[in-house]
Amino acid sequence: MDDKYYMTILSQTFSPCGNYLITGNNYGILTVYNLKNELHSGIDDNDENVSAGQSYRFEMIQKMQINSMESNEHFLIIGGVGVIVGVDWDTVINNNFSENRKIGPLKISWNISIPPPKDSMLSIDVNCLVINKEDNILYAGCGDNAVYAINIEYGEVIHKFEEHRDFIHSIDKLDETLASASEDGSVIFWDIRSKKYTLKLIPSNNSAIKRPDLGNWIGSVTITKDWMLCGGGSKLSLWNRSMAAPMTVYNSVEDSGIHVTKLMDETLYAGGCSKYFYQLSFTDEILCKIKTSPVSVYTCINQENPFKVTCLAGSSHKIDVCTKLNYKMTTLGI
Amino acid sequence: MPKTLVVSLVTLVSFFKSSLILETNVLPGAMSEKALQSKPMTIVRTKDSEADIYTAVAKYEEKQTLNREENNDSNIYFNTLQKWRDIIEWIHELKNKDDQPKEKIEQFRNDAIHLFLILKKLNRLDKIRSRQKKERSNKKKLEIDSKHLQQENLLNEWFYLKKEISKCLQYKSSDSVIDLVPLDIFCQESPISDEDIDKLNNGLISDHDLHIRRLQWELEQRQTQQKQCDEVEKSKETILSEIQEQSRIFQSILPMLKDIRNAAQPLQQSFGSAPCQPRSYPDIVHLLPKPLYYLYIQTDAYKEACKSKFTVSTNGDEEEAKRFDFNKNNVDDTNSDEEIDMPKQKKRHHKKSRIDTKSAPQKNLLSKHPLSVKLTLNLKNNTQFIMEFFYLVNLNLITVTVTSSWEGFSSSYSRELLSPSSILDALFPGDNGTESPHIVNFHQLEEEKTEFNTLDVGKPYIWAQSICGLDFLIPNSVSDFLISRNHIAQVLKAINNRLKTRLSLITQLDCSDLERRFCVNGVNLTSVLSPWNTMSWDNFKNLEYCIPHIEFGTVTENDLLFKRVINYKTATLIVVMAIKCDYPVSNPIFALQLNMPTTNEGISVLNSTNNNSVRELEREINVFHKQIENEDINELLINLIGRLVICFEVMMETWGHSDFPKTKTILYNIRGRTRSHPFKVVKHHSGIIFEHR
Repeated sequence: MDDKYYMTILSQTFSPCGNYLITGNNYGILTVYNLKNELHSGIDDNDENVSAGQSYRFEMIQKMQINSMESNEHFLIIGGVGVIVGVDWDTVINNNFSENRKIGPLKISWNISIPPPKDSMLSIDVNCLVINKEDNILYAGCGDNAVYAINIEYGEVIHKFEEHRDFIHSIDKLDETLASASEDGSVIFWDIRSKKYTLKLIPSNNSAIKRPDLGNWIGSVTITKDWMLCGGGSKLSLWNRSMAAPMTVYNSVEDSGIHVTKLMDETLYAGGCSKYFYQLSFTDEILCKIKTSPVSVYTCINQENPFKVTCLAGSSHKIDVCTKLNYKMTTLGI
Repeated sequence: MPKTLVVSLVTLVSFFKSSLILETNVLPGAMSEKALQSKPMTIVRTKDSEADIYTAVAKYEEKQTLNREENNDSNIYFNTLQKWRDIIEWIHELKNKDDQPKEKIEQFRNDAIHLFLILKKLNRLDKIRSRQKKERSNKKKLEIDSKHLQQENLLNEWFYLKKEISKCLQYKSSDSVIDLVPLDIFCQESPISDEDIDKLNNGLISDHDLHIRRLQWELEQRQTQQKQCDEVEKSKETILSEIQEQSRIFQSILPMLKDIRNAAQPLQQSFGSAPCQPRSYPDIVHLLPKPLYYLYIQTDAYKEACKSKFTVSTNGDEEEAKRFDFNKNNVDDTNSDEEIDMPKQKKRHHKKSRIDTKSAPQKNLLSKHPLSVKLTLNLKNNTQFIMEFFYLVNLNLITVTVTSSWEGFSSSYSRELLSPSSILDALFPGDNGTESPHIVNFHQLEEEKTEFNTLDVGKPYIWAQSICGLDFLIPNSVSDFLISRNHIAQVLKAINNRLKTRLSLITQLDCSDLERRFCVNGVNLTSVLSPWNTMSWDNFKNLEYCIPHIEFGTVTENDLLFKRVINYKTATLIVVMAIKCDYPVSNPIFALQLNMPTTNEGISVLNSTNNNSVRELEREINVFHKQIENEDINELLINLIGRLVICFEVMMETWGHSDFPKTKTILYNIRGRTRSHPFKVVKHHSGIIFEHR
């Protein structure tokens, strides 16, 4: 049986130029799509030149599952299992690669290993990565219940944020605040400077948010200056940061587990194990919903330049691409 | 009379002479006249021959006319005339005078007579001249006429030639009808020199020359070919005669051999050995159509060689077959005659049988040869598996029907798995026997608006055509025993293998002692499994969690579908299994649905379209096959189901639901953003441990 049928894409990222979409799946295959051409071909099928930019693939070391990706100007940073690797963009983005070429191995520029804890057989998933581009500090939420702060210039772990009691699903960073969501059902706010946690929220303690059949886990967290949006086994909920209290509980969202949240321009975005990807207002109101190809959406990335695009991927080999968030424009990876 | 004339003439001449002399006196300027005088003197001498003189004079004068200048003569004439006039005037004057000097008048008269004579002479000359001129002009006229005539003739000739030329040009030669060797081949093959080829390429050889050369080449070629043909014909004749000779010899040998055999029989009997029997087939075998004949011979031979447990026999009425063959030959022979001879009958016929015409051609198209070949495989428990091969005469196609007498199988799925209509489907990839592999058949059937009903005539599998020596990929194929020979072993093995795997599949589906098997592995299974049931395609394609499989093409209509339910405590897993025709080459495909109690005593229905855990369980069982070397085919499905049950229990135990306490050694419940379960079985020294992939 074709294993493509059961492919899961856990992470995506754009190249620094914004023309390429890079996706990583559970089989350890990195796929590079020429977004510019894919979008262009959607508008004008007659253009023959489009065929020049096809997708091509790389193989991760040891065919390791690709859990998360982040990028800065020089490197594509991939979170695998027990290791974070950096790949020079020049070795990934190349117009001369054709679709049918053999899947080549990734040329690793550097790697940082996350050793398993003592007396444990656990290999640690790097579930989420966030980079601070100003000081090149990489934050990694991992399977050993900790968030690592890593200076990628020196390749050393600066600090290990330990407080969660289960693996980290998601992290978000704003200025000096880092928020992490965990399988244990808690969201913790950390102060990066003092390296202490400032606030710990457990949404499932609120009976309006708790969903006992799905569990207490928090699959995703997003923070802005005033707000925190989170969801998972618990319902999607919007919290006021200063009051540390839920402001809106979203009952209108039909899902069995939230994996993706976003907060942009006064609009909330949420997706997960659901037929739809939602756009919501601050007051439990659906602005728009897009039918998604994957059963579960695990990753949603968007960019404004050089062109506006949002890509949704998850437990499917298909990637939904939208240029406006009102409808699905095209589907990649078929 | 002539005498007098001559005399007068002589006198005249003498007179003339004297007058001339006189003239000289009168006209001192007339020199030419003096020249005239010399010859007549001699002529005058012969007075006797008067006639001669006359002719001589005539001749002389003629000569004179030739020699004398005409203009001079005319001058003389004018002068003479003038003198004459003067003399007349003078005489007139004298006569008018009173005293007429007689002598002077006499002198003048003489002079006048002289002058008159000159004038006469001139007149004569003139006459002669004019006659001569006339003669000459006549001559010229004649000449011109003849020239004109000649010209006319030439013109005619010219026209005629022109006509001829145009005729020649317009002449249609039969050379244009002859097919010539194309120019490029001609250049390569014909013995023309390189120089000529160069010329040809430069266009230096005129079309006509080239054409002639090609024609010549053609002629040569045809002549040589004719020779070859003759030779071949000759050799054919000799070979034919040789064959005749040989067959005659063989014919003569036959009784001898029979005698020898008869003679040897008592001896063989006394030695106790069986009389040698030639490998002979019943007469009916020879009535089989060629493809079936090959099948019969090849399977029989294979049976003999491999001591396989099957029998091959013919089925059908011998008499009917003979009649069929006879009819067929007759039809072939008389076909053309019929059409010409019997238009009347046809018309009548048409009216009568109009109602029948619709179905008759259809039946005709699908008509079978009355004989068929039966291949019977003897299996355990006195079970017979019978395949009958038919030959569709008009479609030139082999079809297969299966009949079998299975005993000891009661379950619904065993009927499905051993169903005669599908048991041989996909014996080789893609060979489902749904439509004729013969390309021509499609159009034949289309023409008659007939559908190939496999129920009536059996299924036209490609392998069936192969073992009967038919290969439709070769155009104008005739049945070839080599094709039959090359395929027979492979096909029979595949059929045997198919039966074996199907039977083993049934025993595996029957198997219910799963728990016992997995206790051995140190895993206690507490699930309760329902027996397998068959499932229809219509049901399958309406199930929400099966639709993606159809869309992705992993399950198709040809697959055998089964369903069973696994209960683990309060959770129920519905298992839909699709077994491919070519099992065990491709693994069964599973589609799963989990019914699970919720906290508020409801039931949540989870499957791969709405729950990632179920999707991962499906993946685990469909994608990650344990690669066990020398895995027993009779255990394959049982092992697979065993793994499914284990993974299902592990999934439930790591779900975090209070109904399912942990009973197995699991290191970590859930891992990663996909919240995946530990499905991977790892053998550890302390037992079995479940890990994440």
